[in-house]
Amino acid sequence: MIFHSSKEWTVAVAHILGFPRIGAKRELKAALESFWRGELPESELLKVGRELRGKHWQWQRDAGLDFVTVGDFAWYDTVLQTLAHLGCVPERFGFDPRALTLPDYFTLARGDANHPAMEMTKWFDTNYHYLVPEWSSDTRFDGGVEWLFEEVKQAKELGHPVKVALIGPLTLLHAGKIKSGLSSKLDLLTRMVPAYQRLLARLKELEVGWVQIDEPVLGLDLEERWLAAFPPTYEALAPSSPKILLATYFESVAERDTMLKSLPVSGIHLDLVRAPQQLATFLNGYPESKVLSSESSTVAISGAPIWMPPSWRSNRCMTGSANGCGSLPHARCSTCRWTSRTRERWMPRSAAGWRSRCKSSLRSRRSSEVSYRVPRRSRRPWKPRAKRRPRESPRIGCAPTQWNTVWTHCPSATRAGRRPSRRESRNRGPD
Amino acid sequence: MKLPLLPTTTIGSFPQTPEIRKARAAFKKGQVAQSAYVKAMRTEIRDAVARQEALGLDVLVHGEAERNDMVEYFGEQLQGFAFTGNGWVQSYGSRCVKPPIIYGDVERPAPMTVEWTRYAQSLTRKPMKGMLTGPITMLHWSFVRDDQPRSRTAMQIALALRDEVLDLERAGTAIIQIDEPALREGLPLKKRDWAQYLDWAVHAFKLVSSGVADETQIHTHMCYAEFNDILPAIAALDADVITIETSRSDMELLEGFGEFRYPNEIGPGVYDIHSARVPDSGDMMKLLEKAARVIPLERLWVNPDCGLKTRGWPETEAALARMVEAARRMRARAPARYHHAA
Repeated sequence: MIFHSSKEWTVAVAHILGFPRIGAKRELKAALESFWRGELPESELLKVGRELRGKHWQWQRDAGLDFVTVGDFAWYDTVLQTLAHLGCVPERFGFDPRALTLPDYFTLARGDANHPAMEMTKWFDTNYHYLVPEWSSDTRFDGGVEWLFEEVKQAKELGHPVKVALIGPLTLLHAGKIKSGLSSKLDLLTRMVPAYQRLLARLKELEVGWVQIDEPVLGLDLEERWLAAFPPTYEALAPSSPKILLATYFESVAERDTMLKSLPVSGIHLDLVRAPQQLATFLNGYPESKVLSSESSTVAISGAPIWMPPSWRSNRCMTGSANGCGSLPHARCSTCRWTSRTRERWMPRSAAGWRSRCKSSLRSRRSSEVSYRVPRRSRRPWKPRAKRRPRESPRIGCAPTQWNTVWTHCPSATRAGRRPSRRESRNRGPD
Repeated sequence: MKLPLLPTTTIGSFPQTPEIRKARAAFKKGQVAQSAYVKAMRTEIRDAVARQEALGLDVLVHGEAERNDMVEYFGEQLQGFAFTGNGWVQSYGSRCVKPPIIYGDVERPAPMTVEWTRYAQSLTRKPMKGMLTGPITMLHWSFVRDDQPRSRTAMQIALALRDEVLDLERAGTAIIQIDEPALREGLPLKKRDWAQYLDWAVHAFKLVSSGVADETQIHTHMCYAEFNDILPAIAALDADVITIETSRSDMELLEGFGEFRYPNEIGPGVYDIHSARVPDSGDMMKLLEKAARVIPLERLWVNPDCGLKTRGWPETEAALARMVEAARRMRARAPARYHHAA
């Protein structure tokens, strides 16, 4: 939603960090497992992936999101997928990274008679296991598979505005393990950055507007040298890249605010569900030229827990379940992987209204609650349109990912902003 | 309990065959009577016990045919848990779990595992492990109510499990394994918050385990993780035996246990069950030798690095046969002072 006041524009844009890839009924699981058993040809597996992505993007658009997120899809694991994009899969398997085939990719993940699989470990404090990158002095980043670009093209062909999500270079480096010949993982950074530059430049060529680069590593107790690596890395990435939204999640990054605000990126994403207190730190002196993206308890819903945000609970409590706590769809990070989207048997009937609530919240958010600098005119209380029924469709989510993420353009960034489209004007409500 | 040097065991689950899944699904839908279901599951248990005896394993498990998931199975029998039909969350690769929803106070209306374990023990003279999922894992692998501190919910689960442990002991179970694969993953990301978390997590585990007699062995199992930074807390759990996943990391994990002088027994996983590859007994011996360099032989156990439910029987039996062989060869090679014990 765009607001116009005499002096400035303020825009709220809705997006999500990522969407579960496995399919509401675990379609991807079924396809993968029959491919591994040799019962499904590769072309059919590719088709299942394509269909799932298409479906998930359509849901995102139908929910009113301004971008679909591309790059959250992976055949086995997001980290492995990133390694395949960059061409830095472990050398011990002897694969040519540029000609990596899908069966090769699965060998990396699952091992074979001659090669033990890559190690797995848990992603931050979640129960998701990722494949651990193997770093050595021989690790090369000479370019990898075309899969990501093909996905971008697919989304574009379907007519969606695209935001690409990628694991960031420092989080990827940090997530790996030194196998041989390196004294520090950071020694690989100078080789890794050009690979990211090439990848980002390709995305820019494909006219991708935004790239969300996930750096959850910023939420850890990082050593000084890791923190010091951020400014030069992003200075190197920014010029050839689409606009960068640097995403942090899982923890507060408040103690890094000065560094983050000074990075040459176009926006920063904060996890305000896990760490709401950090907002104040960031709002203080937040650069006008940057976008602030967040999940917040008033605005948005987190991924991991499923409870209704307190602001909703207070006025429209879902009272069906045993202790009066309702639950609700969402997931905070792209590796939170909920799939179910139909009303569950145990849920109160009122829960069927979730998605409408979710959607209307998204709308109302997009109109007034969200903006930290709302022009005077829109401060009037938001009244939902009377009797708008949720669309009957299987899209209702007991658990899509983050419906929640909202970003706010600060005024100067959008002074030349677009006018509200007719659809947006329709959804805008009385003012 | 008379166990040889380097006792062999498994982590708990055996392959969930299509027949097992079918029987469980039919029972859930009400298509099969309880008595028929129990009979089908007992057949599976009998089969698992016979296979383990044939393989020559030292400490047996009942195989967990009746369990769909290590959290869901318990949650379904506890009050305060709700379940979704399709709320899948990806765990790794194509594997998904359906986290339960803890919405209210947790209580145990009746014993949950005692009958199965008692039946399994009746089939063999070898010790049968009672298998439970620990309170911290139940907590982390669920969506937890947010109207009270997580620590309080953990204590409620722990109290319910404590009753289960005591019931198992009363039924004659000499070894009770309380799995806590998620203990480490629940650590707050910032170190400053660790002490508080570990304090209540260890407390919850001990609440479950501390009611038993000294003769009853408490085991625990943990997954994929770096433990070295929380070893004092692991030691504070005071489990008699801890089994850990170490094979993919090439026993690196163990060095920390050695340096810390971990006081109790350890079963480092000697092969990776997440891969379809059947390991060589030579590879396993190498891993055991590596482990023996940091942990005294008399405190080592031999086991795979995780449960076997995702595998098929042929590769499971092949791998376990090689594992037992590796343990036997290691015993034969052990210094003379160990031989009277074996």
